[in-house]
Amino acid sequence: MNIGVEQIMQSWGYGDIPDEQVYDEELKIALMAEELGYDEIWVVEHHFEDYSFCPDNFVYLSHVAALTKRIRLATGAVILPWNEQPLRVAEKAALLDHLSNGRFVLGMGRGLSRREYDQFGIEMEESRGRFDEAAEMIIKALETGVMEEHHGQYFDQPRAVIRPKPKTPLAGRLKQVAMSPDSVEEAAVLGAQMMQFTYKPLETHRDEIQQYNAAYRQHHGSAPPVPIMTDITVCDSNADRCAEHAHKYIRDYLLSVMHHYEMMGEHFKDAKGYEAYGDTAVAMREMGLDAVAEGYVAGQVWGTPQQMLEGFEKRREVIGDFDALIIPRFAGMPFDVAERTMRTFAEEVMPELRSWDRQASRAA
Amino acid sequence: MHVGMASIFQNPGNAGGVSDYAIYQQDLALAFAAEGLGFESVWGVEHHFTDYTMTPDPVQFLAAVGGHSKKVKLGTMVIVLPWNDPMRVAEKVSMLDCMTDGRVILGIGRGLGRVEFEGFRVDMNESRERFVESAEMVLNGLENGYCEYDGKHIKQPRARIRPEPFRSFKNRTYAASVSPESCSLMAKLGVGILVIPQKTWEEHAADLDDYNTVYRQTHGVDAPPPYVAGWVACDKDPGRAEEMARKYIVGYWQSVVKHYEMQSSHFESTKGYEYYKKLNETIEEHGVDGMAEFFLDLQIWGTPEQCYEKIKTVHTRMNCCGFTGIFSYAGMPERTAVNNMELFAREVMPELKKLGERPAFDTDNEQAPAFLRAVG
Repeated sequence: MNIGVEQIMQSWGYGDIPDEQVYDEELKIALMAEELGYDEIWVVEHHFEDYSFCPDNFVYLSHVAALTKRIRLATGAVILPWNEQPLRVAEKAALLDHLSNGRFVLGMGRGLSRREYDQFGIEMEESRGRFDEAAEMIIKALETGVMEEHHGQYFDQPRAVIRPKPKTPLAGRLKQVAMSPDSVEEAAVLGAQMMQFTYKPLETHRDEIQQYNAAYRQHHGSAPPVPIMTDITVCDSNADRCAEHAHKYIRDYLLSVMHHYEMMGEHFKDAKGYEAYGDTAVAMREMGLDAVAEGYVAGQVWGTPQQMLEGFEKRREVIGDFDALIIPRFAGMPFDVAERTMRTFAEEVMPELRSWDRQASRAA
Repeated sequence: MHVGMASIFQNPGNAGGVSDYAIYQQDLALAFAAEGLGFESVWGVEHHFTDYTMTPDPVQFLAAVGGHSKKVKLGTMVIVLPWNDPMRVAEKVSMLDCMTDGRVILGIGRGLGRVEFEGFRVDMNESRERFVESAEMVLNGLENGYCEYDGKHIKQPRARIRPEPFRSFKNRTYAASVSPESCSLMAKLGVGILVIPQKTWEEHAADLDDYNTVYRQTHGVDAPPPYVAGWVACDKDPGRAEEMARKYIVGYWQSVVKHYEMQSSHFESTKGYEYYKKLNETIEEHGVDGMAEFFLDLQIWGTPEQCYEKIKTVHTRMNCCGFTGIFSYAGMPERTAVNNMELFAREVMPELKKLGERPAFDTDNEQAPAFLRAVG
């Protein structure tokens, strides 16, 4: 099982802290991840707002690459429709590959926030088309070292050579955030390992994973990679303190999500490619914010090491094997709480999760 | 003077099957060693698609250098604005500054390589207009905390720069400028000048006079002193130094002629690049090899004493506040590049640091951007 940390660079909920403090704390977490034996660091792309700001995750990861030796470095994700030059995404990926001695992992996504689309001046309606077109151009360029001439609906590109030349093959290093049925399908078609944030009932995740697996088999004729499941989490051996923090900060994080993505908004149902979110919005409006928040907190795996292992076990029974990402810092949580999560999880949860692999290989 | 070094990641013709990765290993090692050797800044350039210079994103390169160092400044030499989405430029520059305690020196330019304009599908005829619009948006954005622009080429709805700038870029922004027209443009923008020597020092000095005049007229204060870069070939043995210069500095010149298509007639018909027609004619008159002698003469090579004297002469002529040397280029073997840089650091740099004034970014770098000063 691959186990990683997702960094979301949030100042929402932290009051009036300077943006530098967010980066100081997240960089400390990145170094801790290296030291504590996590396999991967993922970092988001977000712009403009307290919700999250990492406008160029390649730049962040290049910095982290210089501070670490071992850990893999993933864009989690680079939002293709907001990058109006797919060529630059391929170039930055190749450059990061060189700067990190081949530790780079390419995670792609298509973005969900109308706020960000508006501030880029890009139509949200075009996201699906832009993502599909750009993804294909970038993947081919990284596989061949050349972005071939391309004239599509959104991008016109003369042939251009990628320098420095991509160094490490892309196979096994391609990921995609997929939270809607059509993104799930696209991830399978591209052969990208699917990453999901857990905010739906387990059975829904299971159905999407099955959809992914079937599509993957159909397009590639081989066994699909397991999904990557991402939890907003608190891990603490003190059960009461842990529950208190989880209920406060995970709930507050959900509020930031609701605000940033306008999750209960009416705009999704008419936005091409986001119709599934329109249904979710209706359901959420019916449930009401409190119930949504409660469900969200309950849906994340958090707790004492024992509780987390039980949560993961329960998840595995429903969805099968998966890789795990945890988000340790968010929504005003003091740094020492995030640090405790990082350490406790690494010391007491990670070894047990890794033993699942050994059990599986023995069983096989 | 302030003394820096720049990495340019050249892999001419992949000579002898050298991989881009090997070039990266060699030049990164030099960039990472710079701070320990006493250099005060590391600079990265932006170029695309060819073996001329393989750094598509200098901010990304400098983010790695920033992680390997504690105090060297991190300069872009330059970010080519017409090839970039200016909103993203403002964002990533601010982000790099945030991760490195405000060590960024922002260098901007408008680009000269036709192959690069074509690869980005940007009409080279529009480069000056695009440069001006982008520069205004980025520089104002870094001062205001948000970008907003409604220009002929650049349209940007109001959007905040996050992480937000916490230190003003006012006295740490430079522009590369070769043509006389660009000099007065840079003066109006209120940025310093990066001199990358390509014409006689008399011509560079004349441009600077114009720049200084326009700067004073526009801003009511004296312009900051210029900052100079140059290609270095330093060896204790004068014969070996000359051999090295003739091989590698001339090799670099040849890569310039090739990359920028200096012998092609396209400049003549490209708006904003008419100046290069003159250069074109000069090359025609003297030949590429004849011009190589001229280029060689502008650069810094010889024994440490000779290198010092050459930079001192440039300093006297230009009153420059800093010098950035390029030590590894044109397929120079690793050992040669390391010796070149180490010898320069040991024997030339200490003397240079005693010369003249230091740039404002070394002495006065605590001022907050306008939007934070307004808040108090």
